[in-house]
Amino acid sequence: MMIFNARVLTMENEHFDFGFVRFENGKIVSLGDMADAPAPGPDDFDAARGYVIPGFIDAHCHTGLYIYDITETTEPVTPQMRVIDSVESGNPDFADAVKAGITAGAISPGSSNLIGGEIALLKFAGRTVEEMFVRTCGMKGALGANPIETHGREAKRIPYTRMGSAALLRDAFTRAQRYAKAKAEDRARETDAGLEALLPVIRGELPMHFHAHRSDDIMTAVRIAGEFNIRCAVVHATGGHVVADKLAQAEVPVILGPVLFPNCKPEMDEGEAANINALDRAGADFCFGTDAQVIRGADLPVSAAVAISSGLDEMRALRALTRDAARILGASDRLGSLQAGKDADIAVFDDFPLSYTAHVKAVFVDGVRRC
Amino acid sequence: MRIINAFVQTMEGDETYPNGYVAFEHGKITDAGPMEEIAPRAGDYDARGGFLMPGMVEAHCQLGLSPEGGLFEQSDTDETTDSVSPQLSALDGIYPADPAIGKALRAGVTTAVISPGSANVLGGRIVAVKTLGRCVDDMVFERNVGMKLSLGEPVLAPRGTRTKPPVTRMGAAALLRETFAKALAYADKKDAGEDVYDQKLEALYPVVRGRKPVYARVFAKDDILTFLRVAEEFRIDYVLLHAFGCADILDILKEKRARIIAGPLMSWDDRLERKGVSPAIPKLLRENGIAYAISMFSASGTLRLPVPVWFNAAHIGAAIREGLPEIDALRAVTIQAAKLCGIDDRVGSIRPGKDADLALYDGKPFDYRTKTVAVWCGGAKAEAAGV
Repeated sequence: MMIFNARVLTMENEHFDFGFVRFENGKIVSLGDMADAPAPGPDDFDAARGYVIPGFIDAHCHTGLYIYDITETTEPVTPQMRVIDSVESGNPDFADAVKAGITAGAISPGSSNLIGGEIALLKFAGRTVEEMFVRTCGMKGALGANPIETHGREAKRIPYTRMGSAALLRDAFTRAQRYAKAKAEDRARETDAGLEALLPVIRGELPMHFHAHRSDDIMTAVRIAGEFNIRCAVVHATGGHVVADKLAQAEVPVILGPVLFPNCKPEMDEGEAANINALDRAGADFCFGTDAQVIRGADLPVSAAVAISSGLDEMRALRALTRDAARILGASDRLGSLQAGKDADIAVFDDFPLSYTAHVKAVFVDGVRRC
Repeated sequence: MRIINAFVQTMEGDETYPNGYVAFEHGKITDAGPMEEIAPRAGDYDARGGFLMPGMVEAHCQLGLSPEGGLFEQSDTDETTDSVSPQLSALDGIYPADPAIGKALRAGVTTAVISPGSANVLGGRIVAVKTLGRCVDDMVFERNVGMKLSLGEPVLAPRGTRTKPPVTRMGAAALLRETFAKALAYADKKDAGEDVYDQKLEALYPVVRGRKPVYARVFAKDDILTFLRVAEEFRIDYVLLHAFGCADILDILKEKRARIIAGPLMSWDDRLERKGVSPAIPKLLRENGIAYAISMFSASGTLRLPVPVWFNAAHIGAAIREGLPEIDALRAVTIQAAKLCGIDDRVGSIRPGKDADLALYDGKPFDYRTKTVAVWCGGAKAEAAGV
């Protein structure tokens, strides 16, 4: 299968103004200038000089999760939850997002728990969640108002304050460290599902994805991650511009969004779409998430596009939705750019892909045309 | 004051001055035309070829009622204590310092038509305000656009928590009928010179006498049709709000000459009754000859509402992508919006005598690269708001 007569933006600092992309068995085989392309066959796709890019990646969303399946709120620390056990694979929101060029996303448990469970990177097409599954890409954490409201204010248990949240997180990571040590020394008495799930986190293999809006909550995430030498990303980061230099310095990436949404609570007061530019200027690493169904998953590209009018470079915006998202989610080996050997997740547009008036002409997920 | 060297889109039909000017004085537009008609002089504002249009009219929104970043005590959108609350006015709930109002202004929205929330079958009076001002008394220019009416999920939900009707769709329709019947009887007594007073029925007097329209918040097809039945029984003038379920009944809506404030067109599908949300709706309405405007239904804070008004570029762009001609999309957020709110004598187009509400962009307003250059509201340049 080949897409030809295309303006190919590989997202690897390489463009082909008039080029092709060939793929087989779900993987990209070759790409280049039309001068080097094989003769198109009847099943190949003529992009008619439109844009061809790697599919967009929604770096934070709850697509496919029924509202009551998002957070296991019966206790505040539940790392043993696996979001794939809540995902409805046939949910029409996946197909809706694919129609907008989104081919994969990090499906996350909710933010009512301090530690909510494993986040799954899924393709947005497939019959079963196993078919969609790429890998576990993070462990959900949350700071700020949500855990306090759910547990402290409603269920009358710790955390009732931000101090309580931090203390519980430290306790969980400390116990996970002790559990790891006990296991290494063969002293572990019995398996603890929660601590078991935190092992890749304290080994620095799996990043925490901390939900945090206010700049002080962001810094609490960075502080605790530093204390335990664990990796983390910050999700939402509405006040990220205030501490953009700190995030850049700590090499903590940011998953921004939902951008297309009013500030609905005091902890979002610091946020503005233009703040994306502050993160950019500070050299912080960022990508975007829709928090779907908070905003519609299909509107992911708009999240990045709105920053362009306030100064963000348009290729930087496009990169954030593709290559940078894949890197932040630890999936650069398979997703995020058009390169031989990577997954054939490809979107074709008739204009610059972030233009509000551009049409999606075709979307391929794992080499299969889905729209 | 004159703005010169602009691409002027007046929204009077498809009238444009590719290199034109707009003059205004004392807050009113005095003149507009091609640059050939005038000689530039000191004090003119040079638009340097920018795109100049009338300030946008957000035809249906709840800006200022639940301010951005607000908590429960600042949420004045829904007076949920009684489903029949026509005696309320949105005017008394608007917080002019809501940051969302400033953001709307900076995006080029100079008029906001603000209605009480959707929790009540009859929600209260809708008002039209300018988005520049310190106090709402200065900002308001139409105190009675019409009456807010609602059907569907928010009127009924949360199920089981209400002690009074309605808890079902039947209940909501019955409550509307009962109330309009009372209001008619009251109006007859009043017209016969009887000394009557009922605050709620007084508020409904202009509605049942056909002098003010109701603005009916209806999403699903069946709620649209239920509303139309009730409206016809009581000969009530109306404009439909949202009407996401319209795609199936366009012929009926056309025959009834329904007018529709469509929108939001994107990013709002978390409830069953919102599943019809689509940027294709304005195109369908246009093709079927139904009068329409587009609203972002912009809100501020504590309500989880859809698209912040300052993202109207994405919103209008999506409608154009789905096949709506550019000029129709722009008219839908200016003159058409003003007409459907009955305020087109003041706002919505660049015409001598109308308010000097103007938005200047450095490109087409629905292009993702476009920035707002300047906004004038009532002839005042919105510098105070940071534009």
